[in-house]
Amino acid sequence: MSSTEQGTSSAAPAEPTTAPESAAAPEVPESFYYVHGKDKVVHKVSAGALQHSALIHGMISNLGYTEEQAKANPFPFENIDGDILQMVVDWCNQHKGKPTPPEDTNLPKQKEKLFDLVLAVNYLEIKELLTYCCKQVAMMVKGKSPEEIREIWMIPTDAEDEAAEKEAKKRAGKEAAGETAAAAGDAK
Amino acid sequence: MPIALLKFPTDLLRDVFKLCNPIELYCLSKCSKRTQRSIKLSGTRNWKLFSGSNRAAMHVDDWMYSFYKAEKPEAHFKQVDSDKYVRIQCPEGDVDLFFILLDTFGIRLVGMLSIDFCNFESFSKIANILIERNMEVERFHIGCSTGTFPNLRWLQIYGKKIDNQSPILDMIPPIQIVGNPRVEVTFGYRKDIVDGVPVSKDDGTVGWLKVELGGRWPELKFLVVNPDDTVITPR
Repeated sequence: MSSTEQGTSSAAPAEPTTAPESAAAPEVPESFYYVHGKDKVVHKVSAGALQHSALIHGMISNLGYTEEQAKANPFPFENIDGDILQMVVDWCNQHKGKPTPPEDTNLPKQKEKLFDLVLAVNYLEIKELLTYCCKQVAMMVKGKSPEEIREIWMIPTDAEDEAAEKEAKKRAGKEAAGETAAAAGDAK
Repeated sequence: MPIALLKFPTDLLRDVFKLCNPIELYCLSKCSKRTQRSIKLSGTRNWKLFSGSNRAAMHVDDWMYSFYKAEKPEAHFKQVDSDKYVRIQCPEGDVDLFFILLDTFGIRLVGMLSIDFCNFESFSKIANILIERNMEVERFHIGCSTGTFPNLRWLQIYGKKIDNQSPILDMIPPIQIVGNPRVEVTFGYRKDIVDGVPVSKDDGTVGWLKVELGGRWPELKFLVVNPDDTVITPR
């Protein structure tokens, strides 16, 4: 299992310049967690960055891991491609502790990854990023005709939908018949 | 790069639809029966629909989205986009267009039903279906913007929304003539206006309006004069 360390550079605290030493608030060391996707590459992410994900935030709260336990048990997201998880981690790091602007220029630009990115962000429950992604999806059809929309959003025609429905029914019928035959065989 | 929108989970589809304007959703609904069903199932919208002859409009977040019937098929779905205004040409007109928009978007409130330039049959058909569905119409508009009366002779409406708050032909009821001269205007059997108010248009046509606010159901009567068959009798 390989590992990348994301978000660690921003973890170094700035030196206080004006406040007297006695008045300085005690520094709380930032905690880190580990996540991996389908490619098993582990990403180290600060708790602050992971706050964006309601799913991971909930997991952290429920599990109450120590730093060591977190390191030994990375959160597995087997349904998310490695490069997509990397994009999500990058976005969370860039927006750590910051209010998210109405228009996000740091949004991943690769259109071909947008579908997987939207699904991953939806699964991880990252509300702001999901809104940006959905906006990008919606923008794809601005000013387009139904024919153009059909191509952009890969919408099957009515005939294609009917054919797919027939095929699904046929398959379901075959499977049901197979199960009945198997049950009859077991009874004998 | 294409994206398989219909493979999104339902809640995600709903999020994307929320970010689309009425014209984008209308075009999407024209892609297939499935997309139309998906939009319908994504919930009702608090948009107001306005109707007129061969056109409909939707007012959403300070933007006006107008749908017009295209004269030629090659103009279908052509869009014009300007400041706070988007216009599209549609294959449907009148009643079909109105109900496609109403049903696809799950609209519950009709902002205005207008009969200026509109043929009265369409207006009547829409009004009848809305009454059957028990839908609320905020305002009826008897058109005057073109300087002519709409294409009708006689209009009689009973409605609780006829009150002393809403203007009718730019006048707030009670509507009476100064000095109150008594006149009876008749046209055909039981189509009469007693002590109404004459309203003239730029083209010289005259209509008589009578609004009665008292009683269980306030009543509006409107008659467009045709010199061939309308009798005006002083009383």
